[in-house]
Amino acid sequence: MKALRVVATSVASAVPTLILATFIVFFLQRLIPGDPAVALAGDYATPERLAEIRADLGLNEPLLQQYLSWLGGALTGDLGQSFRTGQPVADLVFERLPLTLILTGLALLVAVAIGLPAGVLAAQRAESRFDKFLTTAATLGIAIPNFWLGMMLIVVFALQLGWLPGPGGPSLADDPAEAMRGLVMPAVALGAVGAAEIARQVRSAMIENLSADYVRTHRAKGLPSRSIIWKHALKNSSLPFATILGIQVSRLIGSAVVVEAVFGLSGLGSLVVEATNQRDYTVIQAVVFVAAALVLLTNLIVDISYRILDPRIA
Amino acid sequence: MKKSLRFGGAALIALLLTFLAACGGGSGGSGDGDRALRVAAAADVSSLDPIKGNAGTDHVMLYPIYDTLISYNEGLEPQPGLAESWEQSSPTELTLKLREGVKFHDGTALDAEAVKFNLEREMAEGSNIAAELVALDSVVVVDPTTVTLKLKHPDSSLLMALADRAGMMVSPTAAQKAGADLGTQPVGAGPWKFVAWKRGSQLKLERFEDYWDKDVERVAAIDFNIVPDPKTRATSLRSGQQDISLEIAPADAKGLESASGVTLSEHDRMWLNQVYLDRTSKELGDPRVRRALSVAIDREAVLKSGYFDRGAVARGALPDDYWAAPPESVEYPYDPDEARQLLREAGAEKLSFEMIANADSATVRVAEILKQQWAEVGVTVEILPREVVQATNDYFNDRKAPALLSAWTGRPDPEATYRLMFTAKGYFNTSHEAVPGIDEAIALTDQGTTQDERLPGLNAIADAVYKDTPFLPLAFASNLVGVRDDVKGFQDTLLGKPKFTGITFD
Repeated sequence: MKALRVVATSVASAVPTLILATFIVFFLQRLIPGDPAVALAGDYATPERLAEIRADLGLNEPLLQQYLSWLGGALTGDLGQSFRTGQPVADLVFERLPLTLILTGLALLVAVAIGLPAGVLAAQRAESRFDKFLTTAATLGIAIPNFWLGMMLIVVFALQLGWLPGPGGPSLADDPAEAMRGLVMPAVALGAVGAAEIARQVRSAMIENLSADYVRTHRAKGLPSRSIIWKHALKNSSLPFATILGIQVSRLIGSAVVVEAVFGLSGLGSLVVEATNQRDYTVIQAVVFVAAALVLLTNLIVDISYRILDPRIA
Repeated sequence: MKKSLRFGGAALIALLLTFLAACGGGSGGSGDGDRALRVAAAADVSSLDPIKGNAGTDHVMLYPIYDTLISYNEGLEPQPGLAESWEQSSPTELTLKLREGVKFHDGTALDAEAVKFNLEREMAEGSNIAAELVALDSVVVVDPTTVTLKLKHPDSSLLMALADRAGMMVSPTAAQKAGADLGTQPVGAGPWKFVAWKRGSQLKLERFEDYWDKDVERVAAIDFNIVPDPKTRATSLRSGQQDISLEIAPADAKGLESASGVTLSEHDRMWLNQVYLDRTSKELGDPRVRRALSVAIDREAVLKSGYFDRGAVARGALPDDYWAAPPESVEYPYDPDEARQLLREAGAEKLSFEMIANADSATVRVAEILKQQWAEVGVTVEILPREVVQATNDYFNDRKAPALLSAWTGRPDPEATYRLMFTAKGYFNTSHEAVPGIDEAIALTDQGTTQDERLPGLNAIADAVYKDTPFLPLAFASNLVGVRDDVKGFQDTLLGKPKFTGITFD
């Protein structure tokens, strides 16, 4: 019952946030200089054609009215049509969404699989040589831009060694196995920063816990070190871990834009870049809407997990 | 036990990698003659309806679906297309003799009525290309394979416009049924037909078995993969994910040339890198100032540093190996002394102006070179890098700066290029005032119908443009295309929009 109430209040507070996000983006994107009509007419522009396109797209209406009619549509499940092609925006977004979800999911897996054990090990041997190495590596991991790491991975693993497929391979729908192979390098490039962040956070939380009184008691009563670390100390370090995981999800969705470009992947990131270049406002708006919803959903999950992980949180 | 835990993370990753590696197995499919030709393109087609599209880069994806009434050869001279012959009985009458028995992909006959339907559709509201057919008055069906285009006034550029979007014939049945949806369900009469399109990601075509030309080599299918990043297009080709990569950046060319299994096709093209000038602006309103800017440019240096020496220096709006190349007198030889003197005569020794530049790294590099070369003659330029749509908007619509460093992608007919950039009504002439003498020279060109008859007029246009210096031609950068070694028969043209007929796998 309590969990249900938590979900309900969280969802209730998420809706205004979501609407606020769409409102901000709606007006921000109109500040991007450049006219969608110019993008649409392109090489074949004439002043008459530009005026015709503006009228067709409803761009002559007052901004607030344009926003309200968009919001009305969005709340009833209609995200509008692409300025550029007239296709329903929802189709475009949901065609690209699976790839981005799989990519960020894999990247998160990479981040946790590397970051969590590394953080624990470093904490266990704080100030050892391994710890120093790890701290340096984590700092480097955070500092290295993911597009550069991606390009280096391509050069080594696709061009030199030929172990993994290069960028621009088949899509998930055409050849799922090959497409998944193609996602390994992007997931590593995208997840590397996350791994570094997680390792650092887990390390410091674990060091704190390992010096706590209850750990000393456990040791005194002869509990094996493995059990102390992985069962007791780690569980008590899970709050900062859940927090950093939540932050990583929103960061991964944002960074996917760059990694998708480097690896020639067509996910949400490339869709929003393309839409921005074409001033396809309805598409930008829809992608932001979906991305914001994903981030809010993640926050909700993190909120709930706090309460499960630590019963003291009401 | 401890040890296994320690390496748990690494083991998990290794397991995942092995699994994925095992899944992949036999990729590549070399030796399979029926596989699709994979082509990496820089940008998706803006619309699959020829009259709705907006970009010069669309054609590579439109030509396979839509055959044109007129075709062209490597040097852009008119060749038979869907029209096997044509006749211009007078400057205002063009008669096309169509091939017999040609069918659209949906089985509709491509006859004179279909041509009339198409041309009228192109002139109607909602068409992006109505401006290219302004001279067209009416279309008369003479018999099922003969159609006559009647013109309001002479326009000798019309013939080659029929090798561009205006000549791409769509099935009237499909157009009437689809209405506005033709852009996603295209039906033409080209060598390949439409299968599927995922916007911004992939366009799939397959061979049209009833294509009229039974002799031409065609691969079984074409997959166009959209890969906007130039580096990624190059690595994708090198790693064997593509058979052809279009629009290789000059900076990546060397890497491809030294890579194994890949060949770089380098072809001249009419894509002109240039500075558009606002000839009525207060800074650049004096033709002497514009000429000074032009002769202050060391074009060889620009070509070398800006385009890695892959291309040719531009004297005028059209390249030297083109039949309508400007006469030899058209040239701005590098002469900083003359530039300084012209600026003195015009009272503009301390000239300072703003130049918008497309924000891609190659264009910005060229902008920096120009800035330095102009500084040598005392001219200060402030570069305003802008993303393409904003640059176009700021310069052509809002006229926020008197100069724009960008490009002109070219048209199959030379007159169209001049008209769009230098006449009063040309959208790409931001001053909206005609270059002195150009209207007379265009009228002279339109009196002829053959290349020989038109050339004196075209030379007069080039001369009028040269005297006024309404733009600063810089370089015709080569069209660089990466091709895998097992792909045979790739051919490019001066237009730089390759068609994929004639290609086979080794």
